[in-house]
Amino acid sequence: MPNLSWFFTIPLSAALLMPFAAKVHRRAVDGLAVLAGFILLCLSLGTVLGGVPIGDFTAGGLLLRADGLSALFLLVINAIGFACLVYATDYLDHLGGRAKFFGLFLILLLGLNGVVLVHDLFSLYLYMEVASIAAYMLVAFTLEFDGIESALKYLLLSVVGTALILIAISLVYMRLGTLEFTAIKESLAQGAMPRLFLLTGTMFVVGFGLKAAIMPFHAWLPDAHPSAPAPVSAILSGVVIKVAGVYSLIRIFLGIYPRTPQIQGVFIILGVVSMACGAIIAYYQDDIKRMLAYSSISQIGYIMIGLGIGHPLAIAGALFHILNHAQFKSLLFLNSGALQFRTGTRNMTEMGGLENRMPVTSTTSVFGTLAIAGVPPFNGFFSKLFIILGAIKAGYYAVATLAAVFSIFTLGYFLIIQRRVFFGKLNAKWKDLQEAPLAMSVAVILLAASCLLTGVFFHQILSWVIEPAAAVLGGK
Amino acid sequence: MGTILLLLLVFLLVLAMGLARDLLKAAIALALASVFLATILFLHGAWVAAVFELSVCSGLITVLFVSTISLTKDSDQKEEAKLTGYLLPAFLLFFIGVDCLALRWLGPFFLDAKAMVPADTLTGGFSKVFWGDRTTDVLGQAALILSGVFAILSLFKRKAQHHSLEGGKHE
Repeated sequence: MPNLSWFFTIPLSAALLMPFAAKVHRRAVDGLAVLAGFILLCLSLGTVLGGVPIGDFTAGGLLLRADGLSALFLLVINAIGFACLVYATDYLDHLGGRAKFFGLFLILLLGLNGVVLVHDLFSLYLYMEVASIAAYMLVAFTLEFDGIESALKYLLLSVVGTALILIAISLVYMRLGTLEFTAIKESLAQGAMPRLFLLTGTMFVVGFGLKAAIMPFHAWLPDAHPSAPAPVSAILSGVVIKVAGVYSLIRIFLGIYPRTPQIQGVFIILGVVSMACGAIIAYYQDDIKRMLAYSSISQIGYIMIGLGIGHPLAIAGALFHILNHAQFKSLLFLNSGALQFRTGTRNMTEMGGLENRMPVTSTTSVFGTLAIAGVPPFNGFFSKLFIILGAIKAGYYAVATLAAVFSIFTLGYFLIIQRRVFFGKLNAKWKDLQEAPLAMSVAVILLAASCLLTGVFFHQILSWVIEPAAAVLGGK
Repeated sequence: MGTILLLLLVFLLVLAMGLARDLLKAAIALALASVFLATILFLHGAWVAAVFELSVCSGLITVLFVSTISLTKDSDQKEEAKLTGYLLPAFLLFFIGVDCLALRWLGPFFLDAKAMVPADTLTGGFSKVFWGDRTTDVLGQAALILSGVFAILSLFKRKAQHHSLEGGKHE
């Protein structure tokens, strides 16, 4: 009977077996990675649909806990992880080192799964570092100057965030003598730590804000994401910033710490700044991956707004947007990787008219564009709608108006990008261009289909995934 | 008083690390700073943290740094690269030895009755805390070490490719 420990043992075992699989055949490495990814995806679906029991799990000293919120994030991590693993099997042909790449990628998945399954602050910190260290190396995996420079920047800024988080954890432990989530919540409910609450709260916001790349803590992201190999960019933007940053913020400020208007205000301000500035800066980019990176900052802004408003509808919208953004942003990053794979450039001014040469990439990009811009019936429409409706119901009319305006702005700049890259006159140097290889195409087709199906069947997704997650935070 | 002196040593070593022009010396200063930090943790009864500090920060991270530095040395610096070749296994052996010593004998010697860690967490001894209560963290540490191994292997692979390309050009 599968249980929560499989989220650790499957990626760890597969990573350990990678060097041996590499001795057999390169396709054995691909098969092992994809199989591990598929099992993890099935397990995460099991936590949502009831096949894998959630709640407390104990085996020896291994203590894990999963609730509706963990199940949502497990689905996000392992669904996108699987798509990226499938994509990477062909993408790595030009990069090499596939056993090491998949080994690091699986450890990244292990770290992310660990973050959402542990129930004390120290273990959360530890698994966040497991994921981060694998991510630094994956960003630098090409060992080209850009990649190493970006990985170093990512590392240095992350270390600042990590240090703040660790100091805050130490302060909590010194004062309360425990780091277990429920115990901290109970102590705080009894009025413990009123002064330290402000200090540790600020440290957690800045520390996890750096991990989530919320403005103004975003400086590492626009460099790290473009320089990384495409599957790494996809998982960084689609999953890592949400799990290491947003999940931790949700768990601490909506699950453990008492909710205060000040914290809600900080979330809304950071969210609006990220949403607006991220979108405006994205519009001026010529580098497609850099543009997508800034767009991620903007979309994280929507999530922060939903969480900050605190209305049950807005929280549900924010949680739904976490699931949706992971899908369409990973899709768009993987497509940008396919473009770079074939053209050798990320500069959109050099592209144009690629629609007929790369029909799968072009069509799935349209899906991603419509989803991120919030066009019905794609998934992004419903999550943004809930956030905006939640803002209206809570009386945040200005925030609701800004969210709607920047959603239209997002549609505008993504359509311009679509036209610059895929439509118009074909650049002569791309006349012999071919579609991306099969595995890369399959991965983006899966993600494009999920963007549409999550929107069409949003009611079922809400009842299966989002409502149990929102219930953990006290909303429905 | 002892703790203050040790903290001062840690501070000076970190300063030396920042000012050192040679990366190898900086890595060694970092390792020594970690050793003194681990000693402070032992003195205050934080066994688990001390062992983690010794094994990961002083041991593994130093090995990673020294390996990386040795990989990035130019061919005209062979003497120093050879030195790192000897240092690498020496570091590994030294820190494994220190870990074993700390776990087996030094722990009870350092354990202070006024330790800050609540007494119940040490019930059953260090091994129970390490393997019984914190298995989740031990698993995380194993994953950290594995990611370090993959990172180093990737660097070696790339270096070999780079050298073969350069060799091809010369031919």
